[in-house]
Amino acid sequence: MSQPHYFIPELLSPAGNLDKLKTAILYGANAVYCAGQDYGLRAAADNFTREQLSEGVAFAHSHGARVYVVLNGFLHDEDLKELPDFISFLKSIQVDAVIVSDPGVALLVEKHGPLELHVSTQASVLNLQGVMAWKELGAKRVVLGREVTIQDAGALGRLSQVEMELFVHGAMCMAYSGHCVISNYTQGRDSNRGGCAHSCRFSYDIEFEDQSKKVSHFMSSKDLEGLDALVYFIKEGIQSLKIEGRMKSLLYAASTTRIYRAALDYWKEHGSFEAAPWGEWEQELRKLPHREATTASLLAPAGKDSVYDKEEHLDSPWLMAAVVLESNPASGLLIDCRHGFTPHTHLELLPFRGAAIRLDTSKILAADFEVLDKTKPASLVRLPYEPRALKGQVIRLFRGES
Amino acid sequence: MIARIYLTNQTDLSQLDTSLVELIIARKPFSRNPSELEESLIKEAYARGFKLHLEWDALMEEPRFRSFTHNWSTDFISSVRVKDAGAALWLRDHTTQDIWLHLEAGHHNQWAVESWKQRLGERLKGIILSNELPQKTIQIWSDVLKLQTELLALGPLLLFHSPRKLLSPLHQNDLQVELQAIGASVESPHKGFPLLENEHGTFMFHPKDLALIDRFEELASSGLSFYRIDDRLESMTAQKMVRQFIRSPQDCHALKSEWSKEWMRGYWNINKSDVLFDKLTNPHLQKSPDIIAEVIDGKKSFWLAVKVLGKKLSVGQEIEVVSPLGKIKRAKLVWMKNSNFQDCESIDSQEIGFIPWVSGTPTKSVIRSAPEHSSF
Repeated sequence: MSQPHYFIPELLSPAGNLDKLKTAILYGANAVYCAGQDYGLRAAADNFTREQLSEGVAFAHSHGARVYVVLNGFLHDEDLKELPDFISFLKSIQVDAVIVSDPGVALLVEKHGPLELHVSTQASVLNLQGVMAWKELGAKRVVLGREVTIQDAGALGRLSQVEMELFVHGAMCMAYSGHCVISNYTQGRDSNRGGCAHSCRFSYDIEFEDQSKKVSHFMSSKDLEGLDALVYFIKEGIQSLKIEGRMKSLLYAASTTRIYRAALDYWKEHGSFEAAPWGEWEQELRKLPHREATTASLLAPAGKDSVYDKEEHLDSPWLMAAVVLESNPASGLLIDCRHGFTPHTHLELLPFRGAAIRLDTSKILAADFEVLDKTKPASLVRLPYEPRALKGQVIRLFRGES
Repeated sequence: MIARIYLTNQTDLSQLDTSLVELIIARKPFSRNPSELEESLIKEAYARGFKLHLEWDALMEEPRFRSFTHNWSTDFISSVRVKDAGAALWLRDHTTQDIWLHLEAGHHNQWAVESWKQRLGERLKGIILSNELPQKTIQIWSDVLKLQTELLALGPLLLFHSPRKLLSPLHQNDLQVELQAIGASVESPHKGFPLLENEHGTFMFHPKDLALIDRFEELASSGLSFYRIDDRLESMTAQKMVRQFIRSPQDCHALKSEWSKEWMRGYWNINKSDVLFDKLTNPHLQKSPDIIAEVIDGKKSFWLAVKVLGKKLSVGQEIEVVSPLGKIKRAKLVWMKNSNFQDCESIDSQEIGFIPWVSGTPTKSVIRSAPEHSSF
């Protein structure tokens, strides 16, 4: 008897650079989103050169994954001069879609591509008519505003016959996306062209009309975590679940992708989450630096408990330690060390599937096989061989509870 | 150039000239910052011959959108000023009023406006321009867009709008319909951000108001059809001065001194809000096509570990190593080892290997082929 087929959404992971792109795909992303040197919203990110984009697309396609390139800045006339050439380039390397928020960019994509068009959350599409407006411009998919519930998103998708994408995990704008210009007018940096200064995370002294006062991070949102809501995404037929965080670490790209992949695969296999290991998955997500979690507006409009009224404490007892570069029974694991450690440190290898594996750290060698009593960041290190280790896997370090 | 101001219960229509002023109706539920407004005043304004424009700048999720558009009624209204793309489409398909697009965030290129012209056709009467556009751009657009245009010339500058209610949880009377406050942060170079919470969420405004009316000649010569003044938060005296200014747009020093907040020009002269971006990234580390490898480790005086990115590196090759600070060192690859630290003749693309030490080239330095005829 053949296994029943259960719908599972696409898992879309952030790719801040080529390493993160490969990592996300190896850990199970069906698609990744990334940016070229211009036109995106993360000017400080380690964005892709054309060569890296070509390599990234080739890598993704060879692994059955898709690549979406963000062109979601609110661009000025002078920014558009070289965009047609870039669009043609993206078409030539067979990028799977572009993500836009500016209708002018959409027109240029149609003219110089065409390429599959996805609408960014930056466009704050909130209602059926908004979806239809973008459908008229050729959009195949809309990343809805973060204010839209899963239930409404499902209905919008069915009524419009446009693919729906929702954020499932990560940091959130408190403002309607694309409607915050604090950085523009206070720091001289255009938040809608990649210069957001994160003024919403500041602490503010607030004085009300009646002279009562409060000090609060009142504009800072808790982080979105939609793991508990996966069943609703699935049942509403949301086509794509997006993980935020192109600026975040390789460990973040690996861990979030790995956990959501595990959950979606569980559904694929069982068609239910009844006996799912929720505790284990949530515990794994907690090992990343994070703010407190909220489901924001996924199930109902976000309430006052969605505010993260705290200083930015994003620490975690777990750190990004290294990436496996090579695994060889004769020479052991060659790893790219990102954080210093000493012999007998608690290191865990994150396999592409399955539970974390504790590594033998009894003996640490330098790249030239010299014995080390401690490692330094940004160095190559050799560890004893671990047969389950594969190139590209991420290693995390437990530094103890603070 | 005609003025547009907001109609409120305090508006003395007898002081206004229909040839100089048009009126904006900002009321619930469509305006995100609604004014108290008697229906009789709207009728009177209409009867006096004023052009009336309904402001629909609130953003609405599907359930609210459906409920509010279900009871759509626009007696006396000549146009709707709309912000949400869906609302614009709905107006096109379900009403007959003229449409003005409120393009205050984004739409900073002519193609964006063109896309709306294509979809709304004759129904699109004009656009409310973003105040992030400098005068020079507005002048160019006025010549080529063939649309009427409006710009905020005096009034509060909205910086932030969240649908979430962020002030009431901090206030003892969290049931108030509207809350106002002032915010300041030691982490911001500015102080005194006006804050507002109402049924549409929470708003933060700039501590200074945008003011371009003291350059009225420039405004007029920019090709704008309308200039907007939002004096709803000002004193009766200031509002009277505004009426005087509209009648005779000359000296506005007295108005400036009466205005409750300081004035700023924003991006009217020039918009350089993207020039800092280059400083956010290290140009020396940008991955250009001529980079063939990057340094990933080093042992002083002995070796550099490299990851080959481009074509293979070979013994005998002459290279330049560029440090993160931009210092360039030249070297010749007289030996090479593979990832197991065994001698080899070349390292292939995507492989890791070891080359002779080059001083001053830490991790993250990049390697490219040395230009021919360069000296070592």
